[in-house]
Amino acid sequence: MDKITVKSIFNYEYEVVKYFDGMPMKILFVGISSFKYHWHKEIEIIFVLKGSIGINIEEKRYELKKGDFIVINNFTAHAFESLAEDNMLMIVQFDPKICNGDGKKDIYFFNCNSAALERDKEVSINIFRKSMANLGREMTLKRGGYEHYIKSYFYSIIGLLIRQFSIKDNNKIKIDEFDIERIKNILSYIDKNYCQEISLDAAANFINMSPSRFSHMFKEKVGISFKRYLTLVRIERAKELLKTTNYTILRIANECGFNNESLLYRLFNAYVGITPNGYRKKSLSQVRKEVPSGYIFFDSNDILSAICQFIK
Amino acid sequence: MKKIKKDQINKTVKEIIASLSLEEKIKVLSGGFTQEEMFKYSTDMVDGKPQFHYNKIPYPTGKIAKYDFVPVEFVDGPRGAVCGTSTCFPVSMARGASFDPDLEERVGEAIGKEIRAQGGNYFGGVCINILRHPAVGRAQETYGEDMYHLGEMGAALVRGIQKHNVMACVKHFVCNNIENTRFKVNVELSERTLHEVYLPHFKRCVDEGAASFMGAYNKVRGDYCCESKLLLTDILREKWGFNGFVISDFLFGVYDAAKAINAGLDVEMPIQMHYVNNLAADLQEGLISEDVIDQSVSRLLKTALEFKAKPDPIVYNSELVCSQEHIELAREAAEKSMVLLKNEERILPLDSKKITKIALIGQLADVENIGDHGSSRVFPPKIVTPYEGLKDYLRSSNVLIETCFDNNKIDYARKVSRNADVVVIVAGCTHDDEGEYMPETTVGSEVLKSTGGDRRSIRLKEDEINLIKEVSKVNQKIILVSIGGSAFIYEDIIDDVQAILMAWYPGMEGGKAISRTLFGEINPSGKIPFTIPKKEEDLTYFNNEVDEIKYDYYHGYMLIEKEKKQPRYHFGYGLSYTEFKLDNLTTRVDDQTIDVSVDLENIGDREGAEVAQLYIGFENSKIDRPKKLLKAFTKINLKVGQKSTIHFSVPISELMYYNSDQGDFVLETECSRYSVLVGNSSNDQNLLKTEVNLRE
Repeated sequence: MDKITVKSIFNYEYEVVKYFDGMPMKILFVGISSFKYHWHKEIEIIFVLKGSIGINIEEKRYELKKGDFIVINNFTAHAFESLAEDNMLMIVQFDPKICNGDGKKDIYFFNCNSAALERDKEVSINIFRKSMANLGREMTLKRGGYEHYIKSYFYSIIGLLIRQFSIKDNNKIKIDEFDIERIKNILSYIDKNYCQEISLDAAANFINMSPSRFSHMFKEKVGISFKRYLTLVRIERAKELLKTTNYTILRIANECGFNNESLLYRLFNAYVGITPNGYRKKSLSQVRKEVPSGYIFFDSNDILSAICQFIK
Repeated sequence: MKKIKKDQINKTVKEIIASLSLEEKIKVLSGGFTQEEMFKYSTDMVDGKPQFHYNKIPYPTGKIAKYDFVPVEFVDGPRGAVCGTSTCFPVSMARGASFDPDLEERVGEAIGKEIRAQGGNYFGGVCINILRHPAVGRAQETYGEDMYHLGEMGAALVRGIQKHNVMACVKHFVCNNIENTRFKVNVELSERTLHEVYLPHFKRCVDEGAASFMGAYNKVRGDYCCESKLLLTDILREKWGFNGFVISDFLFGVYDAAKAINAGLDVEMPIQMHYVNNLAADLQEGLISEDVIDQSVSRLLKTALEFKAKPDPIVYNSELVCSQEHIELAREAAEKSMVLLKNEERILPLDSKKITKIALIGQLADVENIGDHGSSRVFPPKIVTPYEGLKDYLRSSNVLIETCFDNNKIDYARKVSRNADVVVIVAGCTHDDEGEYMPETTVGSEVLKSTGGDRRSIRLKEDEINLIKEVSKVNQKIILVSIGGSAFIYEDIIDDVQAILMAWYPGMEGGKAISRTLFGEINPSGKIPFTIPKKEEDLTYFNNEVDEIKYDYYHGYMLIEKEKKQPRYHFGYGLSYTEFKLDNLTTRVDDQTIDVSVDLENIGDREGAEVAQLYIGFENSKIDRPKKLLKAFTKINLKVGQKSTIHFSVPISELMYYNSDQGDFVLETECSRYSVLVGNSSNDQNLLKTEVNLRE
C-alpha cells in the first residue's frame, strides 16, 4: 500500500535482495520518472503495466510500451529513461541461482524482450505476460494461499525463460565473489569522490590494478566504460541539484566534479537531451504534477486496475 | 429510459441482464465515475478559489447504455441533501431529540424532494448506528443510544424519503461505532448482543421497506462488513427477508472483490475499483460464478426499476430546493429539537419587555456551525448564527446586546456581563472537534487539513469552563447554549449556570430557533436521546486506538441502571416551560399485544408538547436483562389545561430476548410478569408503574 519511490529502490551499489518466503526473489511496483544507471547481481524482469519507458542496456536502447517486458541479465548495467507519459512498472528481481534445478550449476543468459522478438515467440510471450500479471495480482491481493500461487507463477516464468528464451553466450564469464567485492569497492569510491577529479590511474590504483587491466575489467563487468560511468554519476547528481536547489549552474558544475560550466552544459545536453536550465524548469512543473491526486491507498487499486487488462 | 409498468419489471430485468456482457455487468455493479471524474465533479468555486464539495452532483453507478439507464444516482445525507445548494436541517441527533417521527418523516420528504429536483434517486443518509459511547465522531449523524427509538426515527426517515421514489439507504451496517479506527477495527460481540443491541433498528428499517443497505468499513467477528456473509446474507436477507441491494461504504469498503460479492455485497461505490479490476479474473479462477454476478445485477435493477415504476406524487423542479417551506421546516425541526436541561428559578423563558441588556458571550456565538465537514456536509445558501438570530429577534425591541466572542478575553467578557440582565454563553463543538474523520488528503493541488474524528474529551473545553467560571463571579444569571452532536459532561460548570439549553448543530435556521426558544416563543419539547453521566467512568468502554474491541451487552441508560449509578440527566429527559401530569395508567393484555393507556395533562401556564415514554421493566426476569427498555413513545401538544388519553400498543414480541441456542428471539419461559412504566423520562422516580402477567 505504501508509495514506493524509485530512489529508495535503486542505488548504485547492487542490492541485497530481500527474500520472499524463503525465495531470493522480490516484486516491486514502481513508476520511474528519472534516469538511473545501475546494475546488480540479480536477474531483473521489467513488465510495463502502464505508459512507456526507455531502457538502455549496454549501449543499446529499447523502448517498451504497455504490455511489453524485458529480461535484464545479472551484472548487466542498464538505465531507465521515462518517456513522455507516466508509467507503472512491475519489476521482478531474483537470484540467478534460482534457475538451477536438480543440483545443476548452469549459468543462464536470457534474450527476452517482447518488443524485439521474432514472431514465432508470440505464444510464449502471451503465456509469459499472463503469468507475470497473475504473479503481480497474487502479490497485490494477498488472498489466502497467495504464497503458493506466487511460487507457482514465479517458477513457471523461470521454466519458460529457460525453455524458450535462454541463449548460449560464451563471452559471459562467471563472475566470482572477489570480482563483486572489487566492483562494489570501486563504485562506492566513485560515489564518494565524483565531485573531484578522478583519473583512470587513480581509480585503478585504488584497487591495485594496472590502468589498462582496470579499464578492461570495468567495461566487462559494468558494461560501460569507466569514463562514461563517471559522467553518468555526475549528471545524476547535477539533476538532483537542479531539481532540489536553486544553486547557479556554475556551482552545480563544481559540486558535481565538472571542472567548468560549459562541460556540464555539453555533457548534460548530450546525455539528457535537454539543457540544465530546461531540465530545472521541467522538473519544477513535474513536481507540481506529481502531487498525488486522491488517496495514497489507491495504489494497490491502481496496480490491480493496470494488471487486470493482461489477465482477460 | 422510458417508464415501465410494475408487472413488466421482472421481464425487463431479465432482458437487460441477457443483453449485457460480463464486463458490462461488472460495471453496472460499480460506481460510474473514475477517481479523476469523481474529484472533478466535487469542487465548488468559492471567492474564485476551489473548495472541495463531496457529492456536489449525484454519484452514479455504471450506466446501462443500451437502455439509457443509470440505476443509482447517489446523494448523501443525513443533514439534508449533500448535493448542490440544499436546505440544511438540524443534525440527526437533534432530530432524535425531538422524539417526533412524524417530523422526521416530513424532513425526509423535504430531503427526498430536493434530491429528485437535483437529479438524484438514492439517499445515502439513513444513518442509524447506535450511540454506543458519546465520544464517537459521527454521533451527530445518528439518533441516539436506544434501539427502539433509533428504529422508529430511522423508519420515519425511510418513509419520508421513499414517498418521493428516492431509494433510502440504511447505514452503516453494522457496529460502526468508533470513528478513528473505522477502516480497520474488528468488533467482537456475542450473538445476543449483536441481535438485541446492534441490529434491531436495522431490522426495523427493513420492515419499513428500505430499498438499500450500506455495509460498514469495520470488521465484525473477523470479516469486513462488506465481505461478511453472516451480515449480508445470513442475517439481512435470509433471516430478515431483505429484497433490496447492498452497496459498499465508499472507497475503502471492499478488499477482496470475490469475497464481497459472494457475501452478498451487490455494488461497489463510488468509483470503479475492486469489482472492475478483479471480478472477471476471479470468475476465470473459479472463485465466483456468473450466477452470483447476475443475482447482484438483478437485485439492483429490480429495486431501481420498482422505484422508477412508481408514479411520482409531484413534479420535481428546482424551485423545491431551499424553498421557503423547507427552510421553515428546518427551523421547526430545530425548535422541536431543543432540550432544556436545566432552568433554575425559571430564568427561562426571557421576556424582552422586562430586560434591557443581554450579554452574548463565547467563541461559537457568531459562527456558522452546522456540523461536521465529512460526507454529511450540506451546503445551504445561508446560515443564521446565534448572534444573527438574536439580533434579528430583538431588532424591534429596546434590548441591548453586548458581545464578546473571544473566550480568552476574560476581562472583557466580565465587563460585558457585569450589568447585563442575563448572560448567554454559547459553547461546545465544531467540525474540528468531532465528525467524520478525514486524514489530511491531497486532491489535485489542494491539501485538505485533517478534520473531525472522535472527541478527545466529552467535557467542555478548558477555555469555556474558565470563561463560565469567571463570568459567573460577576453575574450568576448565566444561560449556557450547548452546541454539539452528542452528550457533554457538564459537571465542571453545572453549579455556575442557571440554565442549559442543548441546541445541537441546529441547521441553517439554528440562530432563529435558539432565540425563539430563549424568549419563549417556542416551548422546548426535546428530550435527550442519550444519558448524560456525571463522570466518564459511568460510560461503556471506548477505545479508538486498538485494532480489536469487544462490545459489551450494556451501554447507555441500560448500563447506568444495571450498575445502579445516578446520571446527571436521564435518557429521555428534557424540561418544558409548562408542566405536565401523567395519570391513570391502565393495561390490557391479549395474545399479541399489551395495550396501555395513560392520561396526559398540561397543568402549567402555557401551551407545550410532552413526550410520553413507555418502558418495559424486566426485574422479574430469570436471565440477565436490562432493568428496563423503551418500547413506545409519542409526542403530544397540549394547550393549557388540556388533557388527552394516550394509547400505546406494544407487541408481545417486543418482550423477547435473543436466545443464541435457538438462534432467534423468544419469550422467557420462566418469567411472565413484566412492568409497564410510563413517564416523561427514564428516571424511575417519575415513572408510573404497573405490572402485566402474560399468563393471565
